[in-house]
Amino acid sequence: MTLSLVERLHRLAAIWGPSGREHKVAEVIREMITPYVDEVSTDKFGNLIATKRGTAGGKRVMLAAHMDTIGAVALNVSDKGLIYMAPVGGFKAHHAIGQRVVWGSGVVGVLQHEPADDAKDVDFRKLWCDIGATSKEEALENIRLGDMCVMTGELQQMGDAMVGPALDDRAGCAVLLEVAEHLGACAHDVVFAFTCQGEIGPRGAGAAAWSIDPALAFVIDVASAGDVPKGPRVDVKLGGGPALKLKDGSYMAHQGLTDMVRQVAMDGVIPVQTEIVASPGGHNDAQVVAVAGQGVATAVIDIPARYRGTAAEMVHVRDLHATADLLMRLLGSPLEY
Amino acid sequence: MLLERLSNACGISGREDEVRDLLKQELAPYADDMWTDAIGNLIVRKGNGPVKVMLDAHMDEVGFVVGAITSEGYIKLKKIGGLDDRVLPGRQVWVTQKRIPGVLGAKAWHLTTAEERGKAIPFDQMYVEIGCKNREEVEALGVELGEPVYFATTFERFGEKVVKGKAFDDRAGCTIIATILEQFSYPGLTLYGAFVTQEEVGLRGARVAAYNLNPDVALALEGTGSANAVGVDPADTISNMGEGPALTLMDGSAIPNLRVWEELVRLAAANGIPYQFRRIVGGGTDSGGIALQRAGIPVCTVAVPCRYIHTNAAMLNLDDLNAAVALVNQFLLSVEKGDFRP
Repeated sequence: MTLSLVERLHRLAAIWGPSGREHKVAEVIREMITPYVDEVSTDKFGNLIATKRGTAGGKRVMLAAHMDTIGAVALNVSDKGLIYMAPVGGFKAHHAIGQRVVWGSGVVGVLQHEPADDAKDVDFRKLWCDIGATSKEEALENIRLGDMCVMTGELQQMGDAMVGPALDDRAGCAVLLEVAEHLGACAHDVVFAFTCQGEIGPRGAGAAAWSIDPALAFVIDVASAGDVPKGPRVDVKLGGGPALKLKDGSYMAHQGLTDMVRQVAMDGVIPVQTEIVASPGGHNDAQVVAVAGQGVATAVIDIPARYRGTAAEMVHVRDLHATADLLMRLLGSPLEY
Repeated sequence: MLLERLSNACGISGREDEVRDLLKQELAPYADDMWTDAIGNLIVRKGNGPVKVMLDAHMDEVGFVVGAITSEGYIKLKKIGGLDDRVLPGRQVWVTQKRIPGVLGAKAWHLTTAEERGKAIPFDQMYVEIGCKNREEVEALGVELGEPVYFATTFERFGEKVVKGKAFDDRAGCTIIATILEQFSYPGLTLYGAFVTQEEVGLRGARVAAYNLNPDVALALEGTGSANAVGVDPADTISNMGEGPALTLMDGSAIPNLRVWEELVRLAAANGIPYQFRRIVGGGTDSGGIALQRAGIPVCTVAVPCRYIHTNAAMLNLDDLNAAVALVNQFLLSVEKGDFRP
């Protein structure tokens, strides 16, 4: 049964998978992508690599999206059975307060913080997870130190907006699956890389790029939109189309490749926004893909998102489809730049 | 004991020669092959089996280099690796590999203001004095810019179990690997002891070693902080000296490979080897450099708790060191038998 992009996103956003613990996500994506590709494997880092061989004379193209989400790792349990944690990736303490989480074991909990009058006093060290245990022993029967939790929440559609946890970067994963299904015959070898540890480092994408050894790569991630009060100073709007990243704190776009993406988008009448992130902000898989092996020409095509790092990240359905369309147009082009 | 000789040896990042020579001499009788690579890593191979395992420990220690020599004969220092200014003034040091004795001096206590007394002396106000009256006298002793400066610490035993010395980070790890190579054989493995360089300045040697050796699985053996001491909240002790080797949950450089980590936990529990978790996520170890090589290498850090790490006098408990050896041995046996397939 084929699923729509939105249906796939519903399924992907519900899977537990913080950085370093992406195996459940990989399992589902493997099942979803297998009908559309020639080869699927998991590398030593845990990256899921799916290859759709080209018809003839094409290039080797890597499409990457990271599978992991932010979360928290258990470091200590108090005598009262409260779990103290450290963030995994950019999980901010003030986004955590009051959130429900689920641990790898399936145990659910709620995050709460000591009373703080000032936002500056909010700190992960004063934040705990209550899983309903009444003693240290009881808590440790349910979770182990080193276990990780992620925020839970239902993915909901509000008009054309999709709201829920984990859209960074399950939205990118869903777009890649859409491309895999609808691409059809293509001259290029297309290698889909669903990567690990994109929220920290990033790390997995570099290992994936090393073994894939592509001629060029497109990294599909989500970008913070700037269209909210006192939002990030980025000229990217929700619903305005995919955002072509020119730079962030760790990446400079490949000029020729970027120009080509812009041209292909223009030819296809696909709106493209320009994303420029001031240093030192921003991290994405491209920073390690671009320097892997002998170096890889890499473009970042981001899906605009509001409220990143919360349990209610927001993306726009039109942007998801436009990103998939742009990728398919690119793969249908000679990819000369 | 080997830890004593390794601790007394001197080798800041990039100047690991003395440590490397000692390990070469020590391990020559047990090695099937041994070489030094382009970045100075000493690789000791034992066995020729089908599964390649790399045990990593870094040879370098934190310390200083001579940054300037003043016309009055004082030596200004630059730090190599992370060092806490609060614990530096007044320390005895050794200048250059020749171990010229010196003292880390600062403004005399009776000249300080009340405000200055409540604060750590800024590093740029410290200097080393070696009893010379001018630059010419200093230079005549062979002290040049870039020459290493070390804490003048000699290894000692504190009773039966606890030892004190400098550079337990990471001569403890070097000792674990050397002990494994000396005491055990694993014909089913190609075991590489990788004694690497320049960890303290950016996990550099380990990257090169892991890239070249391309192991199926690796362990980084380390010394890590331990603060189960006076006035520290039990939640903040990082690891507890005397309670077994610490397995990293996550640090600033790596999340351990989940399967390797779970196998280590399983083996420790099954064999009655005491262990604990490192309860802090800061800092980095060679695992971070190893994990990212080529198509990715499964790796986990196992660390011996060390109090006062990165100071002139660290302490560790020999039971923790021995338990780490036992755990690494069990892991290697498990890989050799095929119980754990990387």
